[in-house]
Amino acid sequence: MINEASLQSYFQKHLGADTQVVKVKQTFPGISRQTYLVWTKEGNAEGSYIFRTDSKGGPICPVPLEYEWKVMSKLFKTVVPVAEPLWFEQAPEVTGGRPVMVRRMVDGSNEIPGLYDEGAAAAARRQRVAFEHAERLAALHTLDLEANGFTEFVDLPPSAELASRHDFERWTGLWYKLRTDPMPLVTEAAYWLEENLPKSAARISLCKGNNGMGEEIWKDDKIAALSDWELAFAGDPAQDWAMSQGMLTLGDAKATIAHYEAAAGFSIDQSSLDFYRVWEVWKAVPTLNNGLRSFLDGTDKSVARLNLGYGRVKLFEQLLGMMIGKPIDEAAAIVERWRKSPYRPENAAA
Amino acid sequence: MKPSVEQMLEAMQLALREKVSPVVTDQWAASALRSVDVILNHLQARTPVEGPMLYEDNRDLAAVLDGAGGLSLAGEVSSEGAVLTEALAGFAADVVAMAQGYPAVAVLSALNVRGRFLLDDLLRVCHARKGQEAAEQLHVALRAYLDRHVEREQPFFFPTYVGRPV
Repeated sequence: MINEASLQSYFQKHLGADTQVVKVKQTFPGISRQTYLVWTKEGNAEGSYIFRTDSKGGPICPVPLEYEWKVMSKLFKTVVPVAEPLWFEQAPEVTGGRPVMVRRMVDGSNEIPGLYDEGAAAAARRQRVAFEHAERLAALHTLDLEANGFTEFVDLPPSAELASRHDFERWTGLWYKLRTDPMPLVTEAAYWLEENLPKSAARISLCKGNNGMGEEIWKDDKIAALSDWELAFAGDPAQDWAMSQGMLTLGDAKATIAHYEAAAGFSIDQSSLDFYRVWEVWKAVPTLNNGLRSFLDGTDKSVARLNLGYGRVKLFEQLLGMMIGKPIDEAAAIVERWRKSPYRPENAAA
Repeated sequence: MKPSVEQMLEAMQLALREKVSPVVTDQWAASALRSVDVILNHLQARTPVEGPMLYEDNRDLAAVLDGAGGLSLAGEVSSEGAVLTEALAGFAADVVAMAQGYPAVAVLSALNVRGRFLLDDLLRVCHARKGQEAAEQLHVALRAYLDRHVEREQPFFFPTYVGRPV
């Protein structure tokens, strides 16, 4: 069991016998992976750490924790801001054999108080925050994958032109392997999306996956650390903008993209962005449904896992049903309306 | 007269909403309550109609899958490793048997999963044979079934699962 006493023993093994765990807080909601904030005293010094492990039923996202560890370890040596990764263990006793990654805690918060206040000053601030995020994404997307060691373990598309197909084949392969129900409408949606795959990309970049509001650590309106790298992949940078959770609606979307393009030195194709907005809805189905497997086999009977892995998946199936066969820009508009009216696809399709 | 399952679920939900939720301040407990509330909504929509819905859907599936007879399926294997023509025939026979008695919902559900796996297999055959008339015709019928199936299930998930996910 993970608690203050077991973490005390665990951190002493890694940091020395004079380490005292003085406070532990588990972050909410932690359904896929559990994250604990750990504060210590180490002799006369103080320390603060992030202890991250898989939940009892395994991660919802079908990617091992070690992958996230490797991504962060490589990124820490680059200009991209990430928390300092300290160690990874595949099966320590403290978690009963679940993998653990420990990183240093970064001073900041994943929330920006007052960001959504009314008035011109708050609006200008939101645009600055969107620009800050755009600059950090540009820094990530322009990294040299080979020089920074990512080609050692990140699955690379054979070319920029085949980036979308590469991601498509990875996730459809996972779907057919991991699905808990045939859901043939999801298969049909995959065929429709395959016919609309983007044929080009500005380059092959390291993409973060989920990014934007709620994902990163902010301090004084600057990104102190880009956080949560489990969905990182090599692909079309436009795809990250499709997953940028609120960043394109924070200010003027065109200005934000232009700011990014100036920093990155290449353009984001609007039709690719539209495609990836729809593709991310499809990808949510195998990702969330994977979490249901451990519910069904009795390993993890949490109601949150049940609702995400079953109800939300079926809701996304309904959303896909509203979009199949439509032109991609129309489908992307449905997704955008759904995002703006959170979790209400019936309004989005109206 | 006895209370229906839906009435009992509704009473449970009301008790949680009126008596428990207002005094819960812990965010983990509040999240668990939200999840339970969603499941109770789902069960109230699903319980009274699931059996008849599955019965109708299975008969619909059998009729649609029967349309695969116009295709040459020699050599095709189902996703579960069976000879596809034999799997289709077995499913059709089981749907006929289903209509003879009063099957449990679990039986209807298992049959439905089997049928939809077979439909998924046929979708892949149709896409592989795109442009061939028989495959195109079957594809239209499969797509029409998918629309009907999603519509039948819609009240179970929509707007039931609309809202904060955790």
